[in-house]
Amino acid sequence: MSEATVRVRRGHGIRRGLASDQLGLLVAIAVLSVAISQQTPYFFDQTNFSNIGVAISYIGIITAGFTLVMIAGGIDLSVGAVAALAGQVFAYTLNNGTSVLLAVALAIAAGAACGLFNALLMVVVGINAIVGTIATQFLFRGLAYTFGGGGAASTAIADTTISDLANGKWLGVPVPTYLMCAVFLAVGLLYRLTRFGSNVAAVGGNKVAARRAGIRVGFTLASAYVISSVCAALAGVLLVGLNGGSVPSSAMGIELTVLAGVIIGGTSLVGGVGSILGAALGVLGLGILTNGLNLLGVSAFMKPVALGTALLLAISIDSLKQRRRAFKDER
Amino acid sequence: MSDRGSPVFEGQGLSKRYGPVVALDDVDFAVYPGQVVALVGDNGAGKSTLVKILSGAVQPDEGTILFHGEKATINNPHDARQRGIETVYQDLALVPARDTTANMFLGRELVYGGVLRPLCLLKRRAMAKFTEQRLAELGIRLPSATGVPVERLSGGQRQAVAVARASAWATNVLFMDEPTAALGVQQTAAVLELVRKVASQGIGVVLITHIMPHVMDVADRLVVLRHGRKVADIPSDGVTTEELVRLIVGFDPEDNPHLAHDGARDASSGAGA
Repeated sequence: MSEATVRVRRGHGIRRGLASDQLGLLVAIAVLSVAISQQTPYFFDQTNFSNIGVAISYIGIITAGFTLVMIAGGIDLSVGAVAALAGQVFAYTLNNGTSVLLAVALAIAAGAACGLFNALLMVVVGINAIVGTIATQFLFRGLAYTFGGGGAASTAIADTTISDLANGKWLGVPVPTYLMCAVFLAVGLLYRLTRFGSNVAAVGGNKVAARRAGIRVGFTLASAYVISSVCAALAGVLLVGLNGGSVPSSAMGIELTVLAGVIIGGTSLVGGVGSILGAALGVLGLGILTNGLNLLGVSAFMKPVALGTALLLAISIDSLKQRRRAFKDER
Repeated sequence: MSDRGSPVFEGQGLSKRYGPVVALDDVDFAVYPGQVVALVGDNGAGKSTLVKILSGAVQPDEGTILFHGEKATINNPHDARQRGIETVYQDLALVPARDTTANMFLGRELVYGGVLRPLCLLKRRAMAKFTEQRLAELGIRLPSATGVPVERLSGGQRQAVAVARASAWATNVLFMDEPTAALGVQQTAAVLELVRKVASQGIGVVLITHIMPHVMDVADRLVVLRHGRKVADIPSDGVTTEELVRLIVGFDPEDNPHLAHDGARDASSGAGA
């Protein structure tokens, strides 16, 4: 929202700016929607739009925090496992007599703890974020399986407050969609309007310059990891609500969908450049693509092919942008 | 040259050793308000060590630092910045993807006060206005201070942004490390002009450079280091490039009446002469 108002003056030799990247994405989404609707009458339909809105809700919530970590120059591949672990914590505590509110709070707290652990490894110890968060992904996923001693079994929740909410609608729009929009808005405003957001972009863009300018580089990056995990935990609770119970294997591999959405949305793999609004549009585009494949009856085994192709395309575009930037510096 | 009064910032008897290597040996160095001092010397002469000490990045083994004539401890770059002492680094220390305004206010953004204070909401308009004013004061022309990432600016423009930023916060002293190293002829001239403008606002400017013509053009005073010792501290008037080169590479200063002798104690006499 606030990002659309970024002023880009096209002066001499200035490349097209961030806002026009998002415009391109919007056009792509429109073209994709029209193409799908040409093939099936079920696409332009309120029920179908609701389905998309629900399907992308938890992905979007994870994406919001994930984007912040990417802009800060890190990456958090443990988000799916954090969501599953938080879901387990939520279901277990709820079934053991805690109030809904407290169970949600405990699940979020578990997410924050995961984020702090990630921050400890990636910021304090300083290990490579890709490898580090793959490692913690295994660790958190394992904890999700063992939490409450249930193994791979799902845990149904007796209290239906959260599932009623997750499956409810308000003014014809699914509640999870509102939640997703709220999270995107909150993270987007945090990034665009606050000093913290400014510091995130500075840390991801030039760590040395940020440090020399007196910015607390470690604190900023660590905060981004915690925000990412808290978003993932929120998505985990939502998933429990949507499924009516906690599934320890839930959200497995979701980090690649999220990554694809973020990169398609114009956030750079190397940090410093990014857009929360763009990431939201990226998630929406992928949601429509997946939905279209479903409606057209494309084999479920083909979906990873589509996702992989989308991710590769997005990363290729990002690499080309990086190279163009490098050329400019050589001149 | 007119009397510049007393130094705003001064190092006395500064020494620094790295193991057996003496990087800086009993050097006095003074910065006067509104004066451009060129700090010259060959590679390894001790220029960067001296600047690192004065900007707080490195602690000296011996010597004292005076700020407005009073003893001061500069333990880190933050201490230096708080006293209005800024540095333009050779790599510029800009964030490429952010615009000029964001770089101008890097780490010191203006935020709304009052009840909104804890939210740290950015005062975007005020920051943009300040940046545009500052650029105008220094005669720097850019496509726009907002919305255009500095990575899309030319090398000279980026240099100008870095200088504008440092000089905006440098109320007392501005160190510039090889400010024209990566620039073309025209851009170099523009940056040197900028250096003069900054100095005319009463800021003491220290120019660390290799390039002789710049030194002669823009500096009021020359300080030459060789093997960690100060071998000259002289007004730039009447010094030829040849003399300066000889000083830098090795020359007995006693032979030349222009030059203060090795390790001159009274830096101000050199400046006022």
